[in-house]
Amino acid sequence: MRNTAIIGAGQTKHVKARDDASQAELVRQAATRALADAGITLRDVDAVVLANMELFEGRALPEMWVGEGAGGYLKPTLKIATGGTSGTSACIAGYHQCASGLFDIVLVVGWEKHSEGATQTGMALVDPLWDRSVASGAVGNFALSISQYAAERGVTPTQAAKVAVKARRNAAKNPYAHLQMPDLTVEQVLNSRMLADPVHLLDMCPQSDGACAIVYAAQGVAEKLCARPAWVRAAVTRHDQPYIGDLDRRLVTMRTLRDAARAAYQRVGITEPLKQFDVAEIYEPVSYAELAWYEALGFCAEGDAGKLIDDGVTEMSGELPVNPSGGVLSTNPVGASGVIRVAEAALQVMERAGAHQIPDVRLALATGYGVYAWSDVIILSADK
Amino acid sequence: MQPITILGVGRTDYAPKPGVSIPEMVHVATQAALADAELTMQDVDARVTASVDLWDGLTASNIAITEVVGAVMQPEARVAGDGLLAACHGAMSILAGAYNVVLVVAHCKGSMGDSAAISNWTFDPIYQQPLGLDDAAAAALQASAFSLPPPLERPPADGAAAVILARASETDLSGFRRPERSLALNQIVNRLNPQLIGMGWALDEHYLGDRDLTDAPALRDAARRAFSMAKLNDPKRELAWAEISEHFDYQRVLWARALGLADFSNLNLSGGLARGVPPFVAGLDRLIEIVLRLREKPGTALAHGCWGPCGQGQAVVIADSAIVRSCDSAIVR
Amino acid sequence: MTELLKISHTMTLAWRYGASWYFAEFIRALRDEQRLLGLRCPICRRVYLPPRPVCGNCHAELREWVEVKDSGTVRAFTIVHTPIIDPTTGQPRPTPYGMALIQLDGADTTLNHYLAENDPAKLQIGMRVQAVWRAERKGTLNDIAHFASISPIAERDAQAASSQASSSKLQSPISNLHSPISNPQSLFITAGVNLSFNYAAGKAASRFLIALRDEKKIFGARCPSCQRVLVPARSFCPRCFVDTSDWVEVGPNGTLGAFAATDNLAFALIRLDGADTALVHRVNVTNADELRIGLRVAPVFAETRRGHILDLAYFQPA
Ligand SMILES: [Zn+2]
Ligand SMILES: [Zn+2]
Repeated sequence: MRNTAIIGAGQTKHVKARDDASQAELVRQAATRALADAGITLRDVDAVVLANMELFEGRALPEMWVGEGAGGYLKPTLKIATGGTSGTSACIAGYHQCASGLFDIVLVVGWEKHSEGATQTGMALVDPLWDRSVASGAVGNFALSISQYAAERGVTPTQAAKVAVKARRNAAKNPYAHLQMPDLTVEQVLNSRMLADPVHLLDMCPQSDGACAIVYAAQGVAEKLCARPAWVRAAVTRHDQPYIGDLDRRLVTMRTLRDAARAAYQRVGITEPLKQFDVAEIYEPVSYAELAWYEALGFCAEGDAGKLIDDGVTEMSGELPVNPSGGVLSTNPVGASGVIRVAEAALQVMERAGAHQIPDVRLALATGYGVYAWSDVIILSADK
Repeated sequence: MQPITILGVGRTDYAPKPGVSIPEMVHVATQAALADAELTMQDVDARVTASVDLWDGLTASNIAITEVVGAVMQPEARVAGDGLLAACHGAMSILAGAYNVVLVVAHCKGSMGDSAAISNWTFDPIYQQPLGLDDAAAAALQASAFSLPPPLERPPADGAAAVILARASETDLSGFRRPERSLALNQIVNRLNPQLIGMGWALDEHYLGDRDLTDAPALRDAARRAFSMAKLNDPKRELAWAEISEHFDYQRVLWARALGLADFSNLNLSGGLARGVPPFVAGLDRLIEIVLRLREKPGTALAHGCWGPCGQGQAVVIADSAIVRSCDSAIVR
Repeated sequence: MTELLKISHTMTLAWRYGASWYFAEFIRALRDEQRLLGLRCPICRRVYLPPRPVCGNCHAELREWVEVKDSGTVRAFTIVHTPIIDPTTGQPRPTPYGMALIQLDGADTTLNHYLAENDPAKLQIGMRVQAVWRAERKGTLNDIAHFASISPIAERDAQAASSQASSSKLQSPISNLHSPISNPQSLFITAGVNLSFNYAAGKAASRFLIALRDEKKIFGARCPSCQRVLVPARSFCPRCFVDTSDWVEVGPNGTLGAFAATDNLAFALIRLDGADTALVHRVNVTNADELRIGLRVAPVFAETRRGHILDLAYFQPA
């Protein structure tokens, strides 16, 4: 496997509705910024990988129209779509393409424009033989798994609210983040509208319009273009049974994330993730999920996730800052969300994260989450 | 590039199957490919699937096939497009060293919905979709550019196709965790399976008025990449045969010309797509056709897939009946 | 600042979803016999609901039908307060309502379904619930209105009653139905959507469409790199990936480059005078035989215009 690194990243300012730009124009803005960040032009790009959940915008083969915005014309261009993990899966696909030796530089762009679809549009086209008969929606499905996780692990609504507050406080340092709520309090989260017990409105991610792009370069090219490339050290995907009731203990066990992390840690030689990682950008669509991921990712023992947030271990100033960008809780253009995790982890390694830069990042973790149970784990490092 | 062995192929028949679920269709094709490769699902490291949500009437259409492609607690990526593109991506991930054995599966039920109404949602929603364009209308425009009448549409068909790709170099098999799998693969590579030796894919412009519809620059570009990877200098003489995706009759001449295969006699010996092959399965089905022929007759062959309005997306794969000797890892051609 | 337009589309599509032998049998038993069937894995012995062709954990084909009870144990629950469009009715489902993951007796998976109860104080993990069936069954999960809690005593009585009932009425045996894939008897269901989408045109396309609407003018935009005048105008050149520069009024007349006559309208590629690319649009001719490459055409604008590509209604022979 050829060593491959991320040498540039770019994103749009994520907002509720980008009425000023078509999907192709939105993608072009992120792509252009990533190319500029990498110090290259489109001519240098050998291949393009796109990510998007096409039915949120009601499209068939959206890359046909939108691909031009990523400079896909007469380039090897393909789109990866795996639900919520689309972005991280596209990042893994782009990594494989670059590591294969066939392409030296690969551009990955993820996007979503939730504002262009009717609410719950993407969710309307679920399995008609089963899921359409019992409508629970994403929030209801999360809440079912969360109620069980919280009961079993003793996680409190206050601890979850602290995650939500941390995310929004961090987002205030990130000019691209959608939600800007620097002064949000735990009380405000707990007093926000109850969506589905125990999930409050402010426990949930928003729906955003946005795009994010990263640039991969192979060893030999990466060092010339970037003073401190973010080398990919591991990239692991695990999918799982799709029916919501198949695994009634999803958040509790989260076996895909656990196994993907185990495999990735083994490859890189990580035995104490909390100590060894300098930063993590994890895909938390809801506050409680971040706590469950702490356990699945081995940041703490089972049942200790609440203590981790209580003790401030995952704050910007803590031992392992989690989601200094503000995370999915602050910004969620779904097809881009996974790319944002990887881009933000890379920016930390490249020391280009700006106001939310964590000092001395050498090892960074990024994760993707989708279909209520699927996981991607990607490890980036300043060392090859 | 390092060649990639095509270990097994499988497919369903192609016909409207109103009562058959997509998972069952995919299961049949997948099991056929595994049986053909003499492998079990445990031998597969990763999957690349190909499907398009709006054709399936399902959000994240790969969700429904997770179990039948063996993706539970395993890697899978879905390429939204033709299965031949998925095969290219699967080959990339093997070349990257990420996986040793990759299952590539494509499916579509062309008879599930109104294909004209569905393909209208491929056109950009601002300038082209509101006009009422669909794939058939776009094809009629392209045909008229050749002064040909509107082409007949193929009969709608449902089906799935599967191909199993593996790292060709035997030295890499030593790294397998399970010794019996290494053994199984060694037996397979002794069976003279064809190899994937070249690939390329590219996108054309989207706005139909920007394009010269009498030309196919994306296909020329994809072919150029595939030929150079396979080290073919004179494809017309070096290729034994080619299977191309002529979704409409007029495309046969257009694609052949862009591939440098004008007047090539061994084109679509299988009969091509005329009998009705589902969209997004067609390209992978072309690959299956050349693999089956390469097992019988030595040579080098080409498979072509395309998707989107007037073949906006194009993919080309070159396969070869290279002989792999079991005594060493050298590849004799 | 430019007025920003959105282009609306309504998706009215329907699909025929194949049920295959496993869902066909499940639906038959549900509708005709008010029974719930699961499929047992021959390797791990797990009983799966919903039915499916393969156990994802063992890669084994599922063939053995097992009857699952309509009572079970709550493994997780929530009270949903946020209105959600119920796909079966198209209407928001009244809130609050209870939902649970219920492990039906005899199943190894849980079923997500509604609860009769919506007071969280009266719910707990581990509680026993019983399906409340609708009077009329259609063969969907919705034939169960919801699950209601049952007390252990009531459950014991109900079990005694049902064992009496089942001994008194003859039930059809569970069929081990595994039809070949081409079985024309297999079932499919038709389901559709009616959804609205509003696509941002962006600044450049908005300006182009506003010029159609307000001035009946057609604009192209020049690419400073390849020098092509791209029509309709847009913000960037797809070939050169650079911003377009000056805007150029083109046409209004042009030349037909390709055409496609369908049942009720004809599409054409029209090279407008002064443009380097063709406009894709509609042409209207009294006789389709008039269409030929090289035909000179002129635009006809709609009476009422709204900032849309069809403000230019069609072209006709000049
Ligand atoms: Zn099993
Ligand atoms: Zn240009």
